[in-house]
Amino acid sequence: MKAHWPILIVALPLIMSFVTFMTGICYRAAAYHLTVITAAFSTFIAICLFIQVIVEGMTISYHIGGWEPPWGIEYAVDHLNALVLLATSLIGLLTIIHSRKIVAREIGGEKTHIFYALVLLQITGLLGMTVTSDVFNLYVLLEIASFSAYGLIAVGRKGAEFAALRYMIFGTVGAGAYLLGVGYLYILTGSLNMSDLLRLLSNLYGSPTLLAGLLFILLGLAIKMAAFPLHGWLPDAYSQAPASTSTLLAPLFTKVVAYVIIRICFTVFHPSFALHTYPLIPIMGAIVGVGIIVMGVMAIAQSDIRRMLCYIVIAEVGYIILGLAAGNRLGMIGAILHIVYDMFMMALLFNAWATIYEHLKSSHISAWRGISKKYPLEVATFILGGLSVIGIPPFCGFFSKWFIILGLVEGGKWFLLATLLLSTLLAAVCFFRILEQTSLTHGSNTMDDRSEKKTSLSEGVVLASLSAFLIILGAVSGYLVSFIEKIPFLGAL
Amino acid sequence: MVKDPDDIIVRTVARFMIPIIQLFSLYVYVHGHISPGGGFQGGCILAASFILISLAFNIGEAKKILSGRKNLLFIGLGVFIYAFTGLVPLFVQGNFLDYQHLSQFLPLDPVMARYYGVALVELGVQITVMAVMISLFQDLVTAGRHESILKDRENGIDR
Repeated sequence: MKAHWPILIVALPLIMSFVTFMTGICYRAAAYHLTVITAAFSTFIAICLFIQVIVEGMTISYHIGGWEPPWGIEYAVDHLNALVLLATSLIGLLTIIHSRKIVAREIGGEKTHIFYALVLLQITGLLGMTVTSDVFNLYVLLEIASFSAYGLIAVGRKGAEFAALRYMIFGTVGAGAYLLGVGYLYILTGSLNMSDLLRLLSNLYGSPTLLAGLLFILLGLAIKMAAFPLHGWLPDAYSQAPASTSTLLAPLFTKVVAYVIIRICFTVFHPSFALHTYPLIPIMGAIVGVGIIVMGVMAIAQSDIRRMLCYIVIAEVGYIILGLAAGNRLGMIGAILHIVYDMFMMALLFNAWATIYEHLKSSHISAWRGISKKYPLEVATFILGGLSVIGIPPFCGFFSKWFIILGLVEGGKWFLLATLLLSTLLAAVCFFRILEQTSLTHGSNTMDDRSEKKTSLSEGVVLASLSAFLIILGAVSGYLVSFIEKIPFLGAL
Repeated sequence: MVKDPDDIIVRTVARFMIPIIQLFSLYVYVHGHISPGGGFQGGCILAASFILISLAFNIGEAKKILSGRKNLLFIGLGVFIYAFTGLVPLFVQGNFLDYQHLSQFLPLDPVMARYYGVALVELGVQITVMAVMISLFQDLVTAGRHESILKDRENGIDR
């Protein structure tokens, strides 16, 4: 079975998604357990693949249907996506465990099994996008992830249908643009396999068709990852969605698409093409650089805490682009490190938020006044996540940001450096405001103690382990950097 | 309240056409490898026959043949057949979806094993596509209320 891990990590959640759906029609209570078992198994496979990549030190390639790569679909695990696979599946598992009670209350009754089937389909799409080495297969999996996301968002409170519809229109335009770009590449080369495309494109870099293809692909992915001017769908979609959906989607989806941008720009094309021949990534970096300041200001302006976090998500994804725009080794390492770290930081923030929201039934900042006496641990984990996003040293957020800053300094991108530092300041304002409201202000709301609810053990364990991860990941970032440095394309920078 | 269509010509033609449409869908499915067609197209045609039942008779008649629950089961079943067929070769040293390895425990040579493997996968596609098409149609015409709309009709409630 060991040889089949790359396909099983995608095929198992897919098949289990429909098994969950079918058993749910007869026996609904099993849905949660099936989902957790599947997510745990995906995490196990991801760990095995990660270890295998470390031990063997080379790309693990898998040919679906036994067809050789340029003709058949190839799944490949290398140093870049082994890391993303591990983070994605682990956070998926922790989030599903955490949101059990929330799903039971929010979705409840008849739709539980459908919700869990969509959750598994979402994980299928995200893991598939990460593991695939075929640009068209990537499109299919991107759409699997997107369509399950539309469904997951639309079951939310009033207004969620509209937000999901808007997201769907944006998302379909994005996916269409991506597919158009892939079509251009296919016309030029007749191939869809990533490593084959890299080889075939090597003497085509003057072609305007190729430039148009990459432009369309970048446009499509920028919409999907909510890069600054195209982020309009995200705050509405993620803040109208059920709490259990936003805890799953917000940490994972945009970051996996950011990984796809790295995969396409630097392993399908020669790294210098999008950086120097046509400075597409630096231009994108400059736009996003303005964007992260705007997003920081928007985040401060929000009175709803989940909406504030949504703007922080957009700003955080912007940092990844800034790291790429630096155009050197350090910036790239920072960007890849930030993809992984940001998944954990956002997972902690959203899960801690969901726990408190479950108790207070309100996400408005005024309802959070002085709650740290009542819910000290929940608030502490939330603040801890916030400190990590700001980039306070012992936590992991500092290290990825540090590498991005080093990259920007080395590349002489002073404007981007200024925007990044200013945005950090704005994030600090955001989280210190929450710290002040929850911990330093005396609660004016006189909620009677009877309505007080206890955080369940599993929720507490998830929050504690995510907090521990933020510190551990910070501590091991040296090892992670030496792992990331083995990615082949970094040598070409 | 919309009355059920009570047209003898439509009903008779539909009665005559539905088996032919279903037979044709199987033809499209089996011939997928040498002519335009396959599971998706066959599934669409099969779904069209059920949609014709609900148009020529009424949605209740169609629901009697294939209830909403069964239809949902079919959606899952089709994908399950697809993925399960893909997983079987893993147990006999093959890759995912590598059907030629089915020949190791079926009385077939590798080429025919691949042929029947694809046919099985396409069967899964056909079932899922049919069920999804029917489901989409019924979602639209009953405004997502399915069986409950029939009860309302029996009780004379018009919404």
